[in-house]
Amino acid sequence: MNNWISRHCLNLAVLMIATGVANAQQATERYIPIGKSPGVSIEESFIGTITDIDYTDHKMQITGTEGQKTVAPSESTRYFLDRTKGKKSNQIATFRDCEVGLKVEIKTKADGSIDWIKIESG
Amino acid sequence: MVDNYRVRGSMRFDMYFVWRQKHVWTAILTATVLVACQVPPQLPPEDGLVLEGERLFFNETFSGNGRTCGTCHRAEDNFALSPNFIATLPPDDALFVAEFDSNLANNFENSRLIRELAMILENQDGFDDLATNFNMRGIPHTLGLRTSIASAAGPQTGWSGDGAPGDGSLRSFAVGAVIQHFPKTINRVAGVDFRLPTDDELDALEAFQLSLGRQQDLSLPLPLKGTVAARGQEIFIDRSQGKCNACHFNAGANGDPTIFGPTAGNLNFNTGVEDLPDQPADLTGENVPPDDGLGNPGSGEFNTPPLVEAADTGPFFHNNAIDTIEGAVAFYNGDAFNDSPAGLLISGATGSGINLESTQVVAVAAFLRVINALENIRASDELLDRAYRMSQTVDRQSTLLERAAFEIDDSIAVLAAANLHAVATQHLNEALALVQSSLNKSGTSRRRLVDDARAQLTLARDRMVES
Repeated sequence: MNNWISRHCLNLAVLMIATGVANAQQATERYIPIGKSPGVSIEESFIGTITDIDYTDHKMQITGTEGQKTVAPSESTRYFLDRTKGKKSNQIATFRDCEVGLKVEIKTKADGSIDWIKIESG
Repeated sequence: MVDNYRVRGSMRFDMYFVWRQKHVWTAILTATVLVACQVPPQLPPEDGLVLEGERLFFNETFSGNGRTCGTCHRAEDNFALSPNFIATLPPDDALFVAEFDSNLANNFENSRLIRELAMILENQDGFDDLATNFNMRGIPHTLGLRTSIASAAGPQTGWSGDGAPGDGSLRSFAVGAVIQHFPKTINRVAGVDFRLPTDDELDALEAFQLSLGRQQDLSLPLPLKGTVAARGQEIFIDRSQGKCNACHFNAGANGDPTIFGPTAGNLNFNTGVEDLPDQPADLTGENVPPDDGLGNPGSGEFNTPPLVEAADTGPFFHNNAIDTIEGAVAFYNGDAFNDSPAGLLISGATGSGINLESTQVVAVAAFLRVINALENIRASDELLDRAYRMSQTVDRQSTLLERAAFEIDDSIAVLAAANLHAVATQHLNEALALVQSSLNKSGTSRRRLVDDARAQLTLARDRMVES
């Protein structure tokens, strides 16, 4: 019976862990300005300026201190409009809010997909 | 000659005097050394980072609405918050900021649910529709975090394991808490409505929180002396009866490694708490949306809390649905649990759900009460020890003595409420009286009272568990 318990619980544990990674939401992230996300900014994210954008193919090119990167957000990527500089409340955004010349911070997940993009706005 | 004799006599007298003085001083020195040898060695001073974290935790408002971490995680109330404690707070306490600050009057807190049920408003599924998209949750204690938040999926903070922004760590948790609970307005603009903690502040806050409570898990079974509590421990561990130890391994917050794997750590489960009928918050008639737990949309899962600290930190579960530890144990007998994903998994694996008789429910609860009281005794003894061997100032010493008194008081309440260990409770009452008296004394008088209190704690512990 112990093996039975072990097998079933282990399956559940694996499922739970996978679910947790996929869904873990951090709602307050929205209000954290670009470059200030604890344990993420610098270490796990890339900050730069949008130098090219393709709204059809859902891609953009970012140039930062680490060089140039092509970024392809997925459907699960979250977007935040960082309006802190203008002393306004940050907002949920979309890919359409990304424009050439705007500063962005991009956080990738362990699998390489884009978790969220913060877009600087006045 | 006489003069010479006198001189020689005088010299002899002087020499004798010097000789005697020397020996007196030697004797005094020897006695001092002997006394000093009986004094426990001085421990290193308290960790500066932890002390700074403590200062921030209780005093720093981060330029917000006046709340601090300690507004909800009260040292006097086990770093949590209960309705009884809330009833003692003045009307201008920052906990009630939504009642007296018009900027926070709407969609920030529900005053009635704070005051009656100690429930705090959280927007863990986002801030876009503040009027309808929120949850009301209890305030979990911050004790034993070193043993209860690590998991194979990363750190699990908050009720659903996803309480922190950034990298999701305990260090980052403070940032999310400031944004959620500290802002001057619900615009939540960094630099206007609050300031973000610095990296150094986050380090200090994390160090302080990790220093609270147990630093390691128990190793069950304990050699308990109380008959009912000992039976409760057997039921707790037994995979055909209580089955509790599977998810609360060693009465902690982690999954049994022989079942879930060696690195599983803290796990999330949907135990059906949300499906309980007649939840107190629902009975108030206030708007209390269903809480979907981890993720957005939620999976219905909440993470497993440690049980060692449970008995004196009710109400229980994320929605403060149950007030007593007996009721919390009995929850696992009901349909809400046994029909839940976690309950079905248990019944599938073991051939039955959890079905304890009322005597067995009380026995498991007695076990939880006793291990809670033992942890209170351990914590209070450590605080008394620290007060004398590590504190740098009299004020700091008094703070630690006061905290020790809270712990002892809790141990008495936890045992007395179920008529457990009456003789141990007498020792604890004596210890509490001694610590309280020591707060009005200083120097050696205080020291003597504290030593006596520690002796009473040892006697109480010895009544409850084999050494």
